[in-house]
Amino acid sequence: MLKYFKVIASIIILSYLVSCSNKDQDSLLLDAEGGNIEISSTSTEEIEIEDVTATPIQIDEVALTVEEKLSSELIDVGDRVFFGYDESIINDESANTLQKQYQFLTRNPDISITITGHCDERGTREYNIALGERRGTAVKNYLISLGISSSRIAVISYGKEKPTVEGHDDWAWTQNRTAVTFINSN
Amino acid sequence: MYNFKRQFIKFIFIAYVFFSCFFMSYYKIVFAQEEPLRIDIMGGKIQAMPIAISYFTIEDDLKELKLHNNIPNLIADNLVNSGLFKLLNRDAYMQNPEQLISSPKFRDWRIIDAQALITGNISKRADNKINVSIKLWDVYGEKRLFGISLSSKIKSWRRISHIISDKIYERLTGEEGYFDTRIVYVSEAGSQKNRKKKLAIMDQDGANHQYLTDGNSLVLTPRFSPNQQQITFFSYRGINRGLKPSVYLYNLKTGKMKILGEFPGMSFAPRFSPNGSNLVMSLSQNGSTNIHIMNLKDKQTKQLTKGIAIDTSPSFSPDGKNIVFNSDRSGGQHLYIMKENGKNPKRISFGRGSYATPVWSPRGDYIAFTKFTRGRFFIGLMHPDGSAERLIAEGYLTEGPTWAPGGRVLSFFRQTPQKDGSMRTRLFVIDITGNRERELITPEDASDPSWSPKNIN
Amino acid sequence: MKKAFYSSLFIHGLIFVLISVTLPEIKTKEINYISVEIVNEEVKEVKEVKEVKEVKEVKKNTAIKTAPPKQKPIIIPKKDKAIKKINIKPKPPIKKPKIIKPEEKIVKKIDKPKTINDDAFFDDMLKNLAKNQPKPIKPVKEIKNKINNKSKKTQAEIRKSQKSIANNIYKQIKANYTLPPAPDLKVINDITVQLRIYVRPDGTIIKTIIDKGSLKKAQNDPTYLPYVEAAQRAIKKLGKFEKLPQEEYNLWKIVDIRFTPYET
Repeated sequence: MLKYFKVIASIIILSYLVSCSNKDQDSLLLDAEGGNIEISSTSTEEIEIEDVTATPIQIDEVALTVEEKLSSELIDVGDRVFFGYDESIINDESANTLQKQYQFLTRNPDISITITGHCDERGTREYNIALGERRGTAVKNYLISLGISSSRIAVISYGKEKPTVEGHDDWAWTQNRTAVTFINSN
Repeated sequence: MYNFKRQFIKFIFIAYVFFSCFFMSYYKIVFAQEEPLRIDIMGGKIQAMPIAISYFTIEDDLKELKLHNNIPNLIADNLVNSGLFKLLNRDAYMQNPEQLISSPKFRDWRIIDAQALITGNISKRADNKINVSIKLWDVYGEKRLFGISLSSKIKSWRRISHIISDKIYERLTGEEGYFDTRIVYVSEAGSQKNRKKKLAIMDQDGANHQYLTDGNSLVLTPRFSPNQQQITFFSYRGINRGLKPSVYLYNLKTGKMKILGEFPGMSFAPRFSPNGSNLVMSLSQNGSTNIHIMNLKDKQTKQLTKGIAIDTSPSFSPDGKNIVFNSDRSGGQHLYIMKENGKNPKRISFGRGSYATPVWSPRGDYIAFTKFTRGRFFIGLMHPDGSAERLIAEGYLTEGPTWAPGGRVLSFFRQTPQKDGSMRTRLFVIDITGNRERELITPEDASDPSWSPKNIN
Repeated sequence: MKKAFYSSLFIHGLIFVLISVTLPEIKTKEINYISVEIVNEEVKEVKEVKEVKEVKEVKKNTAIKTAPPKQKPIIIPKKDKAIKKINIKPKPPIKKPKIIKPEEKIVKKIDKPKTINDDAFFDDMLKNLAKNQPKPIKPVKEIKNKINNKSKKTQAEIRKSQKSIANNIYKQIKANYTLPPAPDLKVINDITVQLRIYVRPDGTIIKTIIDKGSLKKAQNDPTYLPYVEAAQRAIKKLGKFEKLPQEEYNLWKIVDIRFTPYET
């Protein structure tokens, strides 16, 4: 009887010990992993951080609103024209884009737009406000000349206050000498 | 008979002439003897004037406020920051404040080559007020130049210090002081595409800094009223609600803001007239921008410039009779002066490049401006007739000069690209010689400074 | 009776003719002639006085030393001779040129160039005079020439020492002169300061007097006042001149100083 007990007890104890040790190993692993994770996050920047974003996200198909559809259509057609330094002339390329904007507006007679005028940073603040207004008005007048009613178009100048692109080089400056057309939300 | 008479006359004559000659030559001798040596001293050393500012004496029960150290220190900071004065080290002072109560021992101050000495005393007055009295001494001349006594609530001790600094500065340089003033400016933060701009105001030395708007809408180009606690500025407030970007008035006392008026297009670049009753500004419509003037009482507006050009950034002459402004009517940006009724505009800038943001000095003898030429920005000065143009400051994006009272010191802002590609925008102060440029301390990036007139009591 | 009448008339007429003929020359040339003399006189007189005041040794030639005592008696009789000519003249013409001379002196700076020029100029005059003058004048002229030569020497030396004294004083004042604090420098003409200082024989500056014009300007213009104070400060700071020659004390007893500030 005693022998039987001893065997069972030892088996129980052993199995317990084994499981414990396993646990310990697991926990050790975890610790080791935990330790690893910590080290990796402080040592170099290149690893783990991107991995976080790699976890799959549920993409729900959300229906685009009418406004969003129109805006993306306008962007496709061409929502902005560009200007030379200190100029507000509509050149051929701009004329092309504005022709397409005109067609878009004719297709959608209910919408009204606001044209924002912008300048690159290489000018003084107040003069640039005025220049932005001139650029916006140039676009507006061109659209009117094509046949859009002036009551549908508003102009606001931001001067050099809201550049569309960050940067201090020729490319950034070229991008920022622009007039952008926005659809007014109703 | 004849002969005798003639001889007699001859004799008298000779004697008279002889004596007159004698006296004249004697006079000449004496005169020559005392004829002074003539020396011409041409030129002189330019150096900051060495001055000593002793700590003040103070009543015992006020001692814990430390004003007897703080007030002289602030006066010293003002004078030293102007670049014209040098504060001698207090370790070298041979007399302590108590010994200076009646009259200094001038010899002790000559030894350290102090050319001027300031001593003072602080005493208590009823209802939480203090009285500060100071004396300015001429050390080499061994006399008192002046004394002044000011009193106010304890919390206004900085203003007392600034007023005293102005008086000392004015006596020693002859020029109007600018220490009891404030600067209103635009405080900036955030990315280049999405700048958050807030109106801010501070003392000219950076103290008592306060934000006036919350940064939710874009604010630009503030200006001080010449005679009231009022600011005007340009803001995009309410454009989401259909308001056009407009000119606003802000009352510093009440904190209330109001829109100046509704116009068919944008209204911006506002300035007060020297008597504070009118506002000039630019109104944009259909691609052209013209300068208009509005009476602040009856809100009547009159158009001053006409045409399709961009006419903006107006600035009144101190006598209110003329306005200098920026126009591109000739094809490039240049400066023009017209009468305050808009008549007789004539061009005053002819150099190569673009001229903008003209501001007429409060002394009337200079116009400061921003010039952009060959890819570089400068702050420049010229006389109102366009002559004597010279450039006093430079920087990547450097613009927007504003005059301190006295017309000898200016502030402007400069954007400097940093090594990491970001931009640092700060306010600077410089004097009309182009010397003594220094940066003003602001909590964030700063632009569009406007210097207030001397604070009104 | 008639004889006496006619002879007196004749003599009067002769005198009249003489006056009218000689008068212009006397006016223009002889007057100058006389004033040059006086200048020479002064120089010598000054030296004499100096010698009287100072007990110390005089560096100059013995010739000059001995000259003054002799010259005095010479000068006066010469004057008489000159005066004889002047006799005929009316008085005003004599005085005017003499007065002009001291004014001209005021305009000058450190040295006395005019005296040299005058000498040369009057040498010419003398020569001219020599042509036109009647004979009795000649002996006087000779003496005059001698005196001219002697005075030239002393004048040159005086100028030399004046120059070196002036340089010395200039350096000492300039070392102590700083411009007042100013955010800009005004136009040079506006800010010159004129003052006069009186110096003791040991070099101590005992009195400073600001020129009236400068004082008045300082009262009206607070931006000009600091320049006056800066000039005063330079003097006060210096306090005392070093190494000025005692024996020429009269040359630097009184000094007129003009401060013309500009950036150096």
